[in-house]
Amino acid sequence: MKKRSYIGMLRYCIYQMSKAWFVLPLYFLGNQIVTYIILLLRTSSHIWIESSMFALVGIDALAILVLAIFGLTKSFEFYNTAAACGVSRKTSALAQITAYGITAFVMMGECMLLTWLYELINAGKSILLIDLAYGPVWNIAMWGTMPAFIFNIQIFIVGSFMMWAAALFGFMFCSLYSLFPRKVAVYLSIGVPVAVLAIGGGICANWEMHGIDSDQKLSEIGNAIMKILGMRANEVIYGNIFQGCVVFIIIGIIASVLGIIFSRRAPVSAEPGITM
Amino acid sequence: MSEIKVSKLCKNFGKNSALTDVSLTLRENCIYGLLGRNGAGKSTLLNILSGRMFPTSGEVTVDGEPLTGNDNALGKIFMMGEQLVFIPSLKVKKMFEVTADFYPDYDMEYAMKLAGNYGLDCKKHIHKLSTGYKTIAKIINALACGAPVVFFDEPVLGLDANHRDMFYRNVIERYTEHPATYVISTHLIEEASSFIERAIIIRESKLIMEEDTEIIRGMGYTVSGKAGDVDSYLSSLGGSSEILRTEVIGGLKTVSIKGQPAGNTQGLEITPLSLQNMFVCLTNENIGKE
Repeated sequence: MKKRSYIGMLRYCIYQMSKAWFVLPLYFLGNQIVTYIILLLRTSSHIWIESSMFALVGIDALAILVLAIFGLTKSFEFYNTAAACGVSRKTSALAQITAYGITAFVMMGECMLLTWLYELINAGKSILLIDLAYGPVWNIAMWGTMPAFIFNIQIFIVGSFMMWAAALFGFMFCSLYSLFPRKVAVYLSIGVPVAVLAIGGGICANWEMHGIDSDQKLSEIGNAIMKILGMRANEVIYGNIFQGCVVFIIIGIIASVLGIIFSRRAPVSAEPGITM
Repeated sequence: MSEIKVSKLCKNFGKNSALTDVSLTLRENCIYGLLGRNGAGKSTLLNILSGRMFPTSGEVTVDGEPLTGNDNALGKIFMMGEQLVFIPSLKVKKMFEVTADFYPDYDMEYAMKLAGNYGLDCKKHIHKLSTGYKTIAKIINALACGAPVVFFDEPVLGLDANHRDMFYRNVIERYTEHPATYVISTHLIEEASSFIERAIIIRESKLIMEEDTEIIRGMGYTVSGKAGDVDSYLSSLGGSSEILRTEVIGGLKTVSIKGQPAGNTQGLEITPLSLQNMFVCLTNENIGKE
């Protein structure tokens, strides 16, 4: 591997990916806007609550989809540029993997910073930790009130996971792409998560058959992972996040399929089979 | 030294063969013209030579090193393709800077000078440029990159006559000051023929000729005149010469013939074949037919 090619590619990837660093705050902003609209309306109308729930979940789904597609399509773009500038696929893949890692850590850093801000603002207050994206609406429906100024801590955490999901797919794809032809790489990018889901589903089904609550078990695993990462364990929150990751993988699979469609439009590729 | 050797290169897209058994050597510091009709396999060849595509079989080496997956070999090559491979949201100057990160001999001063000459606004985003200026941005990047081997795939697409003229002059100037191997794939043969040193001609996925342009020009001649006079001349040649092309307009006949003029040419106009004429003769499926 040529050092100049690796450094050049890494700089280019980070320059491009740095634009994604703004996605998390923007995503949060979108979510908060919807939340505040609900707060302003202060309505207990079920139609409003239901439609707001859809809006919030929609924002989540859209953000996840965008980031997963981002991960795959960026990989294609980076390969194209690398091919134009005399960089081998292997060097390009290594640089991309590094850049994805750095980006994901930056996103986690953002998450931690915002969590710290949240705790600073709400020090000594009793805060309702809300349940995933539709939490605020759920809480309004349940108690008819919300703290006047609330940071949705979970959205931050989930948001950082979204970038990990994008990074995961980009990472997985470009790693495979450095070893296999494009089609094989894309199919494996989809196939591996499907296999993980299938195995995971099988394990859960086995637990249930033996009288073990799979939700409880997954939460325990989620908490154990969080403890290893040095974060506070919370059965409900982290269990949800752990399950949320599974959702991300499913959405990532959809993104991968879309990636195949987009890849056909890639201007130039180092991959055989694309008509110039 | 940067010599590219291609041996027995084949490339298939499904059942279609884009390149068949192509073998050639690209010498150091030489301007090549890559000529061929639409779909002949020119772009495929350039994409393989620049590492963007992989051959179905055969090998490409740069200074003896295999090209595939080799940063050293790939780093000696730059390709200006028909399509934009940089992210379109980049600004022109950023595109230059990105390229400079990969090529140690990139001449940023020269790039900015050329941008000024062409009237290219380097602060603009690439996707906001017109088709012609996108091409200009790519041309400047290729000329300034400093790579020992530069491929231009249809470099004058979308350029007006003035900009095409500027490009040809820039190629000659750059080549004189910083010799490198340039391979220029083009359909505008007449325009490029003044500076092309060697021509690579591909016909239906096969390499049919790789030769000095002067030698190619000397390979044939054109005889024009009254149809009867031309026919008499052809009869005097007997069956020894190969007729490449025949055109009849009114009572005038023009025949392109392989070889050198011989016999009585009185009353006939004899002109050497241009590179374009020779190319047309070599790649026309209806050779010799009226």
